[in-house]
Amino acid sequence: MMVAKMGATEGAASGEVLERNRRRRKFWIIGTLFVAGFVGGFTAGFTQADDLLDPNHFWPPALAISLAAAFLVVVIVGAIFYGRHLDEFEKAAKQKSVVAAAGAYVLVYPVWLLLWKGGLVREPMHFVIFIGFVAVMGLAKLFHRVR
Amino acid sequence: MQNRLRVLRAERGWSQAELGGRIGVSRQAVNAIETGKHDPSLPLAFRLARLFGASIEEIFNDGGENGRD
Repeated sequence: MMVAKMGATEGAASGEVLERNRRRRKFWIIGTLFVAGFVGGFTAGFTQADDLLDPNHFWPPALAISLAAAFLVVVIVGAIFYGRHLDEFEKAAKQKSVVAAAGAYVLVYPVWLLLWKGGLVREPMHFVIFIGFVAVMGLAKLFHRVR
Repeated sequence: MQNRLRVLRAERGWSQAELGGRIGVSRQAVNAIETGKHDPSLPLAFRLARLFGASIEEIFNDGGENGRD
């Protein structure tokens, strides 16, 4: 299907050119997402620098709603566009990485909660768990792609 | 799963990126298939077979008797 499509639209274009164009499109999508994330993070950090991670400090509702809306739009639209440029090997690595991160979450959160109940550690922090989830997902994806 | 992808590609003088571009996957995907780390889907196997003018069985060998089960 892809071969026929390529033949119809790009003639005798070299496979290397097609692959390079695909990589370039992915690069631009990731770059755009990165810039959007940077702008959002910079906005939050710049306006709430003094109490950025203080759980008892609340941000202005307008800022919170704006950031949440921007996050949803960027992540959902970005995932749709990025997903179109993933091949089956990349999709498989992505699925395995999500499974690995979910497995880590299922193990880590209850253990942390139980240890906290026992007074041994501090209360589970949701943003640490979220960052851990994303970090495990990234490491697992890297492992599956380069192993 | 064993396969003759690397041989067929070399016969045509194609790089992994060249083959990947021709079948719509990344260079990493071609490398993973060649090294047996990723088994291609049936649609991708058919694309490869059409590209090389061979049957799927002539490219891929699952280790069964005479390459067939």
